[in-house]
Amino acid sequence: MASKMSKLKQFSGLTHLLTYSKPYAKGFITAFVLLMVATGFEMASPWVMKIILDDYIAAGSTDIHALAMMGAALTMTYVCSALFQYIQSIIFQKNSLEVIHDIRQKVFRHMLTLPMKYFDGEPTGRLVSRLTNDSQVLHQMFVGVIPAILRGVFKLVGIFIALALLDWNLMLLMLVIIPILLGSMRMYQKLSHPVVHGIRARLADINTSLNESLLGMRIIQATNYENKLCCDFGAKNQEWSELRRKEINVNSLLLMPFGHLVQTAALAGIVAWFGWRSGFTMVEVGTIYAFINYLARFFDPFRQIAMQLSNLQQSLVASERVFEVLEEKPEKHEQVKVEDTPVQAGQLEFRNVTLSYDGKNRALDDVSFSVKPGQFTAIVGHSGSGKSSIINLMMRFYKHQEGQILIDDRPLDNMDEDALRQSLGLVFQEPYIFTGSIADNISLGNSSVSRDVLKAASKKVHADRFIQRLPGNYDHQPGTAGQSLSTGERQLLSFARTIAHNPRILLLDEATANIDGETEQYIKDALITLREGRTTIAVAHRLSTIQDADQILVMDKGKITQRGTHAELLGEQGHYRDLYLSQQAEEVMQGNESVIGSEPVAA
Amino acid sequence: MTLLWKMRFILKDYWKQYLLAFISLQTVAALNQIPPWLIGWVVDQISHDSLQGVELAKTVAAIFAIALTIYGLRYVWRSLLFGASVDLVRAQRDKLFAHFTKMSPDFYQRHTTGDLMAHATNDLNAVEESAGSGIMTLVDSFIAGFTVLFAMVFAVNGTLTLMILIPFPILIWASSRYGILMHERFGEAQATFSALNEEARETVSGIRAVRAHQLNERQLKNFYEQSRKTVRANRRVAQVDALFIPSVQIFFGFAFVIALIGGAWFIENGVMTIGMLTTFTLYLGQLLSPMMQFGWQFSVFQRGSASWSRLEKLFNQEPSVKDVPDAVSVPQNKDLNVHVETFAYPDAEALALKDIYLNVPEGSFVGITGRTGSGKSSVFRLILREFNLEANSHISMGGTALNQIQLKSLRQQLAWVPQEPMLFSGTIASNIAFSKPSATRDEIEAAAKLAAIHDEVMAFKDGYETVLGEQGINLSGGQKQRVAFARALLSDASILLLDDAFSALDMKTEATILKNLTAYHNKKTVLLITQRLPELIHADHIVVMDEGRITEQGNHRYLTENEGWYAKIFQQQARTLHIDNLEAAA
Repeated sequence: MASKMSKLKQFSGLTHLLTYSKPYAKGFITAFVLLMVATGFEMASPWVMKIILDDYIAAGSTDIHALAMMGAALTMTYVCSALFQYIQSIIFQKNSLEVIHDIRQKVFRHMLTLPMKYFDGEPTGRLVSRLTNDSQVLHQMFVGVIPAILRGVFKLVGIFIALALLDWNLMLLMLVIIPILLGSMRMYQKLSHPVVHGIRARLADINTSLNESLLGMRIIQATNYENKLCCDFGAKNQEWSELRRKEINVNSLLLMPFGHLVQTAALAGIVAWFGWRSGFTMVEVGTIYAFINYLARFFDPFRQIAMQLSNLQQSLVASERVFEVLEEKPEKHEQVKVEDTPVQAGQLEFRNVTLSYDGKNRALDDVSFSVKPGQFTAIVGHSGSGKSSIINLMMRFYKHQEGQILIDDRPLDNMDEDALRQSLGLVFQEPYIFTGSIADNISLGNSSVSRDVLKAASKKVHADRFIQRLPGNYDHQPGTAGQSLSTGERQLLSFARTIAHNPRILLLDEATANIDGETEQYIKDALITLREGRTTIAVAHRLSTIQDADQILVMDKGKITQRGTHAELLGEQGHYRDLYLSQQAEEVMQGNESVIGSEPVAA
Repeated sequence: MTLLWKMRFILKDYWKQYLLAFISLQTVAALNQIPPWLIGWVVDQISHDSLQGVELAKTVAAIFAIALTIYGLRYVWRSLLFGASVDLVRAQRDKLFAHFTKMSPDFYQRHTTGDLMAHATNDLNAVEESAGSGIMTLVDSFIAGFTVLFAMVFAVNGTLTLMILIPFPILIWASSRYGILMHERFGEAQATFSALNEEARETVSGIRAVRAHQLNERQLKNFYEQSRKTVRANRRVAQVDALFIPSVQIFFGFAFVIALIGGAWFIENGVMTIGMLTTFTLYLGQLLSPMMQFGWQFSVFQRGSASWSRLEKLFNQEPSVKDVPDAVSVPQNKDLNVHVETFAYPDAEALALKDIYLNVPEGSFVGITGRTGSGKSSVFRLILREFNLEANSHISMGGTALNQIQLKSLRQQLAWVPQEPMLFSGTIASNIAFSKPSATRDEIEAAAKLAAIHDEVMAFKDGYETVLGEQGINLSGGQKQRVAFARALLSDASILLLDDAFSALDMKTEATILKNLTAYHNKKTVLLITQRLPELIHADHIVVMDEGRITEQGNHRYLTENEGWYAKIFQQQARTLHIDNLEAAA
């Protein structure tokens, strides 16, 4: 039942592919016609040879002129077949590349509309792979599998037509070969399937074990674990090699060598047939020759089809993965009325908000708080306590299940997504640097952010200082994920980005990484600049940065357990005080005078 | 081809398998020449109307027998040859892995994990292909090609053979041209594909940033443009790729035309029979695959050669830290003496350590403290012999310099707990028993209790059998630190090196662990790096470091009376942590 289901699904992959090919039908049809023509020419050449053998050579004809003409005709069949095949191949490839391109665009566009949940559920690598690798496999299917199968079928039909014309009876005998070959293919699939899967699994094991060992090499060496580890690895490697050998044996038993065996046996059969017939009828040498020649061509398409069958299997799985993305439902907020006026004052309120990502555990449990325009609210708590969920909801990355979120007394749900996000300045824990120049990374393609604006913004947050030192200044390309910048510099760059877009509300996810002393001070300064005149919600890890907050929310397991100002919270026994004291001890060690300066309030 | 020369020392281990495979290949090639000849003979008999039934039956039986023999031999040589390549790669992979385990940290600074993994998989796969199908094709195209030519010349006609060879140099030239073009264009296509991958990765991994900054249109546009580039590059590949088979067809067509027309002329002149012509064209067909393969094997060897060079580069690197020839085992006395005048990391200009002189008597508790980057961990790394010391420095154990002691023996004495604990996939029990796989469950639990993790482990559904994912992802930072600490406690090492090993613990758990440690350290030497000075109150000796030097040292009482950095920081930390009571309680 399950296999039937998956077969159906695979089939839907094929129909999908057909749908996307429709706009290019003309090209594909042209290619098919050309393929048929090419196959026709290919099939013609043994026939021409037969004529040369029978009518000229065997007949002892001395008509050199006619023989030369036949030679020219034979050459023509080869040249035409090659030429048409080349043109066909180019047209086919061109159109299939376009189809793949269309599918990629469609899938990518669709992916961008999917809810955040979708991206959380799968590792980045796998999602990217659907867009690129899997669609590349589809490409292979288009340019490898489908033409090979079509060419194979065309050829087989052509060969059987030619054989029937040569000798109707022998052609029927030759049909016996087909079930033999099909049977061997079936058997091959059955035998090789588990082996191939086993090899893949072993390779994955080898990779996992390599990755882990390499990362932990220092501790492995320190604990003298190398020998044991080598043994474990050797065992996995051994399993792999045994399976590989099995695969080789199955291949040698059933693939090429078997095809050759059947071919030679068929050859013996043809010799026997014509030899026997020559006893009572006239047998043309050319016919024997042509028969042998067609027979040699007969196995080629079979071999190719057999080879492509395993690829087909792979491509179908890949196509399934690609088209699965399209089946995902895009995010939809049922909106009463969309208001696209941006946030004005910047007042914020959470009213009994409950959020669950998986429908079971509550990430936010009955959370209520409000923030007045221009106020600074900090949220602290363990990782997983729900701090980031508050930001996620404000950005409308997720939809909460219960309660209400209000901005300027308007429900968040009623706001236009773009207008909302324009009013919110989200500063990530790990700033995301896009490919492109520094300037691009600040303006993010927003034309209202001119060079002057972005320079002024950079100056305000001390980013100008390091940008000036970069080769090309604002046109510097920091490379993939901002490789050429330090963590602190990336941080400052993202601040400049935020300032340049001048959001009403600032959502700050504080960085946890250690940043060198000088930059650290700049970052602290810049954060104050960022907050100026903006409603700010900050997820904080280091309490030293939030002591002047108007309100601190302490979260635990999705609930707000404590709230108040720094002074108020220090005054009560609780998580905040514990956290503060232990952090204080470490800050002291690093010689952070600013912290030492502010005396903790005695209990 | 140079690849084979480079790999000769490795290939020679498998010479028997290769030799047998080659003999089988040659036999197959020779046997392959018989059926066409027999067919030609039958054709001649038919055309002369002189075919005897018995002879026909014998011929058919012979062809059939040959076919079966060839089938068997083909199975044999494939199994031998490809089997040898698999064995070779398996052995090399084992060797590479063992090599990895010997390399010192500077090696891992130079190479990323991903890069090393690629060596052990992709590169070895390329080598396997060269050692298997590469060698097979090379040898087969020579053996089969020459055997067929030999058969053509001796069984049929030398002149005709020469004539049909005329198109082949052009074909070989053309296919090698295609090969080069293909290589170039395929490289370009791969590059565009990587860029496309990167576009997609950027968007997917930065989906929050993309949404927060409303970059949908920008990303769509970039992806579209990159996808177009991929299409263009792939079309250029297709243009070359599509040339290959038609070219072979055309040139073989020419050869067939020459064979037929030339053959007609020879038959006319009585030099050949029509059966011989049939034999000849059948032989010609056999030339097809060696010719086609000949071009293909170049690219296989090219890839294999590049990969092998990369592997050789790894193999040629010696571990920078290794046993001296007459290394001894650890002496009875385990007193540590550190005498480091200067130490700089490889390829670094700045000194990491300067004038570090320190005595750690067996069984003592020594604390090291100082700001981040003051060189505390570097001292541990030197004790662990991760790097070599300069001539002016030495670290000794019981009077024997560490570099005279066998690494294995030295490491048995050291239990190191890094700040970032490294856990491995497997159960919690196996992670604790990592350094002592023979440990009983009771021993494991005892260590876990000392590390204050036992109760939490028991709270898991599977207890000690709870399987940790890669890097122990399902434990919290503090839990990981304690598992790593339990591992160190369980080992038979006599010296514990604890590098800020309790940084992720809350104060209560930390206090419990410290108490357990103090009770436990009677038997073992404890070196503890920490940023929380109250951990060091009971230390026999405390070293304060700053910028790679020792700035203060002495016991807690001495240092607090000394009015230095230690005293100042301790007071501040104590005040914030209300340590007075804690000290009184301890």
